Amino acid sequence: MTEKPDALRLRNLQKSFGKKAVDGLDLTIRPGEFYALLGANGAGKTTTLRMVAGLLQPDAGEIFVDGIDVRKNPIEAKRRIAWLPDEPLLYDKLSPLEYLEFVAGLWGMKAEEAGPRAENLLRRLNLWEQRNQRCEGFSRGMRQKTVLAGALIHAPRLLMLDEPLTGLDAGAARQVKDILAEQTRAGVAVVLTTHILEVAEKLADRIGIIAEGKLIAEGDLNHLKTLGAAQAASLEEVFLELTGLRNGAAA
Amino acid sequence: MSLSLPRLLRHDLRLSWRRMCAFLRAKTDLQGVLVIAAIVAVLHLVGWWFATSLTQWAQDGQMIHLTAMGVVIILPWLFSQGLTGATRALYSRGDLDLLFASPLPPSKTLTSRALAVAIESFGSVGIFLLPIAVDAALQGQPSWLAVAPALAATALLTTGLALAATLGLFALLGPKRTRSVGQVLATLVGAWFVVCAQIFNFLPTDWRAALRAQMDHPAPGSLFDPNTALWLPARAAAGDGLALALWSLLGLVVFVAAVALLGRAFARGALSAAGDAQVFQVVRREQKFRCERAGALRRKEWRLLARDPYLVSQVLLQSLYTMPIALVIWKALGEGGIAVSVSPALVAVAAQISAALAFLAASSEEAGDFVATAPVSGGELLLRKLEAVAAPVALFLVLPLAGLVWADAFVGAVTLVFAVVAAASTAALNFWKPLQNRRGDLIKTHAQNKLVGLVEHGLALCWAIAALLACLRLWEAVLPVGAALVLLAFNAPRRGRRAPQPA
Repeated sequence: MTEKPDALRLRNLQKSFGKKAVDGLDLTIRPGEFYALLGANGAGKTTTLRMVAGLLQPDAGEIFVDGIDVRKNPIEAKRRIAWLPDEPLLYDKLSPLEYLEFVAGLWGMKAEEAGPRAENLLRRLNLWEQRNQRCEGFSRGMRQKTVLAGALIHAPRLLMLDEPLTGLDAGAARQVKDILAEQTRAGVAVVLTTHILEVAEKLADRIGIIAEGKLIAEGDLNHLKTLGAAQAASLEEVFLELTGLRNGAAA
Repeated sequence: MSLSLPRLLRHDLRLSWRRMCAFLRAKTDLQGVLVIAAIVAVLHLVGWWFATSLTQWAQDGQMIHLTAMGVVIILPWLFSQGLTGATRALYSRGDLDLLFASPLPPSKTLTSRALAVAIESFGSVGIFLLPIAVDAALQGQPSWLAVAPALAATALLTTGLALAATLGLFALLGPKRTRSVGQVLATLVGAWFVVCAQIFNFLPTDWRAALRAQMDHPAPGSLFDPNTALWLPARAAAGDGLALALWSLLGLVVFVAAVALLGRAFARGALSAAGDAQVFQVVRREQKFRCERAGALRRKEWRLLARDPYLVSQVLLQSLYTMPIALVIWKALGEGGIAVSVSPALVAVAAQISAALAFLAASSEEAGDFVATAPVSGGELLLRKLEAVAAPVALFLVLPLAGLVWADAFVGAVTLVFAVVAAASTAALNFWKPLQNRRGDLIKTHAQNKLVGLVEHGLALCWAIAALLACLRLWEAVLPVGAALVLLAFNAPRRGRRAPQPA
């Protein structure tokens, strides 16, 4: 039996905008793994995800999604990826159902497969009642959930989420977390960036900490806790210590 | 202590000024002042020549007729400006939420907003008229300076009326429809400004002669008698002291009454307009889920175009503004020239509508980054957008073109070819030079990209002239075609990568 390829593999990924934003990043994420990418503002998390999603060209390095070279075969790679930016990208004048119909069309899904899937997702995310209402009146949380439904409708193999819980109430956040856990159980690799360290602590199989475009620490929670100068009690303390933010915060 | 009216007005005028600077692409206030000073200087130079003619008219005793014509043209324009400003004041959230959340009385907010609208209206016409009036005064006709206070009174009057009309529409139609109806109304009233500018030329010769006779020797109390109340604004602008005082008083009374009486209604209207943004609008749709890729891409564009609040007013505006072109050509060609006169107008309309739709499709992609992550090539996305733009343009033109072919097959065929080329060229221009923005800011964004706007108008004009000349079977048609191709070549995308943007 052949081994499944890594869901995401980055090798020596580099990108600079005058100053280096991503500096020789190496990262491997396996299918079904929940990976939290943490870093301070401007550490290079979003730039990394945008390069994987095909929105930015790397200066150097390799990106493989499900064994497919993103730079050589971007269309095939994109079929397997879903990307959720921190700001929900929606069409205000479309309804959630119309939005999902459009997304399903973009990913070339069959109507008989996409229709029931859209209904299922909207019901699970408590958006079925609003399925024919224009998104312009939606709250941030409803928009975020609509975009998440759009990301999941084409059954991606790699789900990348940039701050997905921002603006969600406790109930909606719980729904999203449940769906993400379910996705990983189904073999989908989830990469998540977040400032809510508790989310990473509770959900992630592995956590990567990025600073100035470099991966400075990686491992499961227990491993990371051993990296602090003293045995750290929480991920927050490890994060602050490794990224040097503790002093900044104190100042 | 709450903010005083002058300080509030200063705040509103600062916002207006910044909008103006953005329109002029001035990065700083100083740059804005310098650009306006340069425009005013040029207008003074041009105005000097106009002022010479004005002086001659005044010496011939025609000043009152000239100011009357000016009133007929400017009054609806200022009313249209007032309608646009009042609608913006009601619907644009900006700092309105902050002001209504403060302990400031709503009437004060309305007074300040309304004054800002009146000042903007005054400025939109004054910048062109006042240099001429000042030049005429310098040439020995100081009575022309009365244009300034007369214009100010007119701006106050029309702003007050526009405010009442907008809030009346609001009460009658509700917040959802008022914005669209207000825009269409402002467009129609604004188009009257264009038609008025040519109205005398459109009239049959004997009508014009009769009109001239009536104006030269008006019957007392008739429509053409300058001593009647109807001529009050014209007499005011011509420098009649009593008329100017009365007109100014009328403008002030209407403005103050509108602001005093409508303050609460304005606050209620603005709040319910804000609430309307939160109201879920249900879309009618068939239950069948269709997601064949090309169709899905086109359907999404059509849905967004059809739901754009500016679409109707924009298309109407383009169509109405080309009417005078057809009428002028028809008049020049005589009775046999109907088909030929329609041809350039249709070509210009095709170019302008296609430009407006392509702008919406290209520049207002709200989820551009998301679409870029889909497994679809950029070429296919562009092709589907072009198809989505082409279909409504074709739909709009099919009947007039069929009529034209029926009336004159050659003219119809020439028009069809030039309409297609014109529509394709302005669409291409907008796809080459998109401006990413949210749909809510379309009008502002389109106005900000003045270069594209100018090239768009240039292309429409070139293709329209070429169609006219081709219909007349003149070889000179190649000249505007060449000019259009040069314009396109200058704006075609260059090879090479765009500078990377930080995430």
